[in-house]
Amino acid sequence: MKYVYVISMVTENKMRVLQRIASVIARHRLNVMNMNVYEIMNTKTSYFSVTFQSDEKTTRLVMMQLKRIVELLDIQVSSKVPLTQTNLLEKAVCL
Amino acid sequence: MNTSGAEAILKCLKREGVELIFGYPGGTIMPFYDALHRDAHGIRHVLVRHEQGAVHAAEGYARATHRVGVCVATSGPGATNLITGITDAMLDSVPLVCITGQVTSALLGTDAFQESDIVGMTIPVTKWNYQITKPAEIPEIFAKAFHLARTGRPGPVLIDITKDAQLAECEFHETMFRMQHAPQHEQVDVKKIAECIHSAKRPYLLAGHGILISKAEKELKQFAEKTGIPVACTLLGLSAFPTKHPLYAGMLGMHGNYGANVLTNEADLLIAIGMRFDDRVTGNVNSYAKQAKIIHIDIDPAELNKNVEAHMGWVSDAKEALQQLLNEVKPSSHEAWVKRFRECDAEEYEKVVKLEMEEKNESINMAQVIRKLSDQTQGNAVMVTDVGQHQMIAARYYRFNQTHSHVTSGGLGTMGFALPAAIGAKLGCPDREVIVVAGDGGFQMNIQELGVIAQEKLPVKIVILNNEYLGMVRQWQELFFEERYSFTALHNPDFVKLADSYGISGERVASIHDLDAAIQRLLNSKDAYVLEIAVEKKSNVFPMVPSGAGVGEVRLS
Repeated sequence: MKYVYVISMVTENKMRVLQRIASVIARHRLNVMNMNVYEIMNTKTSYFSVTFQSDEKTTRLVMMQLKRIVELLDIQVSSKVPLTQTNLLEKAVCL
Repeated sequence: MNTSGAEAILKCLKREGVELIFGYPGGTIMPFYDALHRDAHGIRHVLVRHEQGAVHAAEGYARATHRVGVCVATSGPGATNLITGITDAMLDSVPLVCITGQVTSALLGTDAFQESDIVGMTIPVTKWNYQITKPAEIPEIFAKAFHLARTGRPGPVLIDITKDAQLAECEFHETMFRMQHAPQHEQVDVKKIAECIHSAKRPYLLAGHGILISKAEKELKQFAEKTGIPVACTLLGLSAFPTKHPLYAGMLGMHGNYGANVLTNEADLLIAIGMRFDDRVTGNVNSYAKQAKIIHIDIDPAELNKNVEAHMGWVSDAKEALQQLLNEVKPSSHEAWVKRFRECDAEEYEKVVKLEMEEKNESINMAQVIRKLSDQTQGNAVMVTDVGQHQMIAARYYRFNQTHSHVTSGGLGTMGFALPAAIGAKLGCPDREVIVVAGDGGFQMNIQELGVIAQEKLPVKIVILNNEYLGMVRQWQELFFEERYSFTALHNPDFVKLADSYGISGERVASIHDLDAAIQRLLNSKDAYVLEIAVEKKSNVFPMVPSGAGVGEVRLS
């Protein structure tokens, strides 16, 4: 079953972290629906929020592979909405 | 004290205990090479003939010694030529630090001469990478690079350094890098795992590369002997367990041993340590060990439940896990279960091994060569194999008597790996016999590295198993593509004359009756030696789990 996932990450605020995250996600042929990145905590860390559609198994593997990124400090699934109703999808994308 | 960036790199390498590097100079790495030249009593540098040779040589050194391998290249093509070897190291968890020169920082992003975004290109195939533009960054970044390369699940790290960062001066500070966010491993109930092992009637232990990386061979043997559990090795786990041990079940995988594969689907418990259930091991995962409980122990949490769902997952270093288990498990034996493996061995012997060992007229097959090499070296050589039929035959027929004796490209399957990797292995283990076994196809992919063997006077022994085909592809064409041999036949050079042109002795053998004496001459040679052996052209490697089939469908012919 497919879901719309929103993954939140806190990373060191370093160059190429965005590219490292994108590389892991793209490798699983996941298309990013929405992404937000901004500096937090006096610019020492960055916050990432990434939205994509996927199944549970793939998402678990993506999460584990994202954890290999040396600059990653924390990662959570912020939202997981079944991909059954258009309004839910829209709601998830807006999160 | 002020030093140039290039001198700071050398200081960092020495601080990390590096004694040997492999490389190839070029425009943007010249300040480093100049510092290396001025540092007359420092690090030994081996000049390769192609950057791919440098990274595979560093891999061979790292795989044979379990120290970090270091290679150096210039920007642009020098850097991109490293990528295959870096990927190879990533898939096989080999600790490397790769240093690349980069155009001066003012030219970054301008498509300058020999500029390539090597950091961007290698993000998916490195454990970590970084571009240095200021010399002050060098001490900390190098400390971090070596720490990451060698700790946890080892892997390759790339450091790209702009030319101006090598030339500029900085104050050098000693830096000890510590990970600020060290991964926390979950605690597991070791007693519960031990109970699961006690209750199993047909337990089966799968040993991978992680055993060798964590130096857990002794603990593995103790654990197997205490519990009476048969042990199979993956391709990269070979030599982690003595092949002559009564509990040795053989090699797993597409061309592994019959019993090792087929009995996976009869075991009621799999204990997988330091292995990742690669598709070559599992075959069709939908029919893999469905009847068995699975305990999966690996240092990389991303490997647990990736290909095969584990009933119990344990993120741990193999040695630490085995030490804890050894304290909890009770002595046991599984004689009837172990006997099943011996029955399968007997069937494999009758249907495969006996036929391959039989002398037929003059012709030589690969298995005969490997078994004779094994016998004449008493299983004590470091076998460095390339990729293809000969690789599988070497893995099957060489009786490894010492650990850390099998150097091969497992995950990526990189043809051209063996010759440069053997250079690194020999330099890392100068007192051990290092034997390259390559096919005629793969040998020509990095054949230029014969120049390094000649220049460095390395007594590497080279066996070319020449069937005038890309043998493994030809085998698949025969079995699965109705014998349409599409572009797999090779017209080869005279390998002996070619070796001679480098000043390396050699000979060609085409008759089984001449083989023993030729191998003796190869092994007795004090210098490098090339032994080209004309083997049967259309032999196939069996057993074989056909692509897409389950391990229970292993073919013996």
